[in-house]
Amino acid sequence: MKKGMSIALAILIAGSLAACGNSTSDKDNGGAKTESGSEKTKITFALWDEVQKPVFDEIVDKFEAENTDIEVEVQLTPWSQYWTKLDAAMGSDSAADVFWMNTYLPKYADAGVLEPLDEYIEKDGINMEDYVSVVKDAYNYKDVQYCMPKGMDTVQVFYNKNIFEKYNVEEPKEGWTWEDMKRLAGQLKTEIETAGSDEYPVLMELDPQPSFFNFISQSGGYVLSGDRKKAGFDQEASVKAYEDVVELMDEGLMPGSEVLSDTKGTDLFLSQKGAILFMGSWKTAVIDEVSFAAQVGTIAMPAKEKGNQSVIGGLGYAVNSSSKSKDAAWKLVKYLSGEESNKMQAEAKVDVPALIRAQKYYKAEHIDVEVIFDVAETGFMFPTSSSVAEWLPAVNEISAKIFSKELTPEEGCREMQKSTQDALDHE
Amino acid sequence: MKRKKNALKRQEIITGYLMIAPLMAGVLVFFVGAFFQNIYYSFTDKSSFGVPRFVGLENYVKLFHDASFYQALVNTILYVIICVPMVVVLAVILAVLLNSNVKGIGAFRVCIFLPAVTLPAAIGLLWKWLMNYKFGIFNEILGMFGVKPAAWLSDPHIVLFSISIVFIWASVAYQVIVLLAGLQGIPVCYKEAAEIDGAGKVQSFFRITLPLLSPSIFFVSVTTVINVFQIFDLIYLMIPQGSSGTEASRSLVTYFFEQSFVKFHKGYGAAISLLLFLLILAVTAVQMLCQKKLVFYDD
Repeated sequence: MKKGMSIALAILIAGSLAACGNSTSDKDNGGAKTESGSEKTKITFALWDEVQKPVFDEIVDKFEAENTDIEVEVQLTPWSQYWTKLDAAMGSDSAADVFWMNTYLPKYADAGVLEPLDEYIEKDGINMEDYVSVVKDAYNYKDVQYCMPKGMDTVQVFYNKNIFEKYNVEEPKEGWTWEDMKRLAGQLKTEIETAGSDEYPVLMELDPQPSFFNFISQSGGYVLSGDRKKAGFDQEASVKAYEDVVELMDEGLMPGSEVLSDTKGTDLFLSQKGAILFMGSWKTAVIDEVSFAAQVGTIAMPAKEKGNQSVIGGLGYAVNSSSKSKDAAWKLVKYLSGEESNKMQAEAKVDVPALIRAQKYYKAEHIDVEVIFDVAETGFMFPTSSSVAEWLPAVNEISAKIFSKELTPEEGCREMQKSTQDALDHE
Repeated sequence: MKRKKNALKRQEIITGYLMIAPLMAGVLVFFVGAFFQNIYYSFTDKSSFGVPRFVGLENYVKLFHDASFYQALVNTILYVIICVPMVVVLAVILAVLLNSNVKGIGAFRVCIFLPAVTLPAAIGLLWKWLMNYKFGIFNEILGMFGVKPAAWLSDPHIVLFSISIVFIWASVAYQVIVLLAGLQGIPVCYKEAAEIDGAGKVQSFFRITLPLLSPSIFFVSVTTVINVFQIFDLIYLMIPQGSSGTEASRSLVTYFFEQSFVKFHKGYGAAISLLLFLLILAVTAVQMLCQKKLVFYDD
């Protein structure tokens, strides 16, 4: 019996080994046929999002089919370890050849670990005007293009038509203002109270990108000055932006921070507990899947004193400056930021392309996504600097204290001004 | 003859060392080596990349002027003061209760032990829902008594206690098992003798069970103190980013994590972790000294 078991086990193991062997040899054969003896160039490509990984596996497969002399290994590192690993790998010269980049760009560019791409772009005749200018500029640091743009995130308002209908309040209209929103929210609040129900008129996630960084700019203030040397939390308009958010809470038009920090605004909206939601385009796919998606309207944010412009974020593809195969790495970056790759990402709904001619491939089933592209035209880039990892957490923390009313907007802004300016001065 | 025996013994010793060599290599590289490297980094300005520059005591000087560090230190000490006695007392009570011969005691033991085999991530997420301001069951219960809902995870005055409750719940389980083993090691004859001499249940508990259990209790206290000083995962999992309870719940390890892996001040982070190490070392040393007076060894 025992012997029988061990024989069975041996067969099983041998079988699985053979299976592995088969698949690898298949691949080798396929490669050998086309490359006719020459060594393949191996490059690595690092990213952090496991949701997007399958799409990128497909894109890379296509790239390899077109460039048979290059072999790409896609490395997935979870967000929580991505930067730590990248930094450590940079130190030991083993970092990926191509990797995703975000607002940390200035830090890496200043450290000289990113390959300037201008020459490559010129050589291959790529027209950077094909990309959404804000995202393109976000990766143009000190007049050097360090990344090719990947996607684009904008912030806009999603609203639940069911709730407006239920309480017989008119829906938001194109060109609305912050005051219009407060008026509508006030009407909703009265109706909800009379009905004894528990929906919230306004919802947002109290993070910089989907809320207060927009409002600071819309009120006429700024987070960082254009040359990234001065913090703008001491501006009267910046304080006003915080006051306006706190006022929404005080007037009961929006839940307090104790609710919003435990339950994300988007989750409340998805459970039909909110009428107006300020949210980033990255949640479009989630909202599109909800049962009442056909009843969700989209509109640009209400205008404040100085407009309704949205913060625009978006990732980029960077090339490691100490890569041993920069030409192959560039080929990959060029492909990743090209039309086919963007089309595949858009159709899989994992990202809104920054490549303008590929934006038409991004569609939602129920939700009108046109607003995303409209908003992109007036947007501004997410404020960042070399020390963003230093000041942004402080800004988050102090903003949270303002929203929980531990600090008045004025006190909070004074503290944020100090810690941000300190960080900028030490760059 | 004697020489042969020695040779045999030596061979056995060599084989023994060979057996533990792979494990020791790991310990040397990843624990001992890393420990000394950490000490070195605490004297440098190590950040994201580039060669770390030696800065002498700069990190430590900065630490002593860092209000956030003091806040984290005070929080950590508060965690210790709240959690350690609660864990030890609860573990003793539960262990004594579980040591009885009630029918179905096995089921009770399993229930009490469950948190010890549950992933901290699962515990954190579960309690996060229980403590949710709007949908949590805790506030639902408070509501039934007409008490205003509490912001368990964002009110700076409450958040440290919320985390403590979860920590106590999660760590009592393992300690109960240790104490239960200790209880079952106490010879029945002492209790029988005490009973014959007319000692009541309470008297027998304080005069016999407790002293004979003291070595186990000592072990439980030392490990709990160390665990509480290193409290991190529950805070990381339960306090949402950008919550107003961040500062009030921040422990030394959380602060170390933020400095090292969010802001990338790895040299500064190394200094924090070294101070934490010294703190734990000192407290454990004091406990060891008290051991002589408070712990009764039955031999």
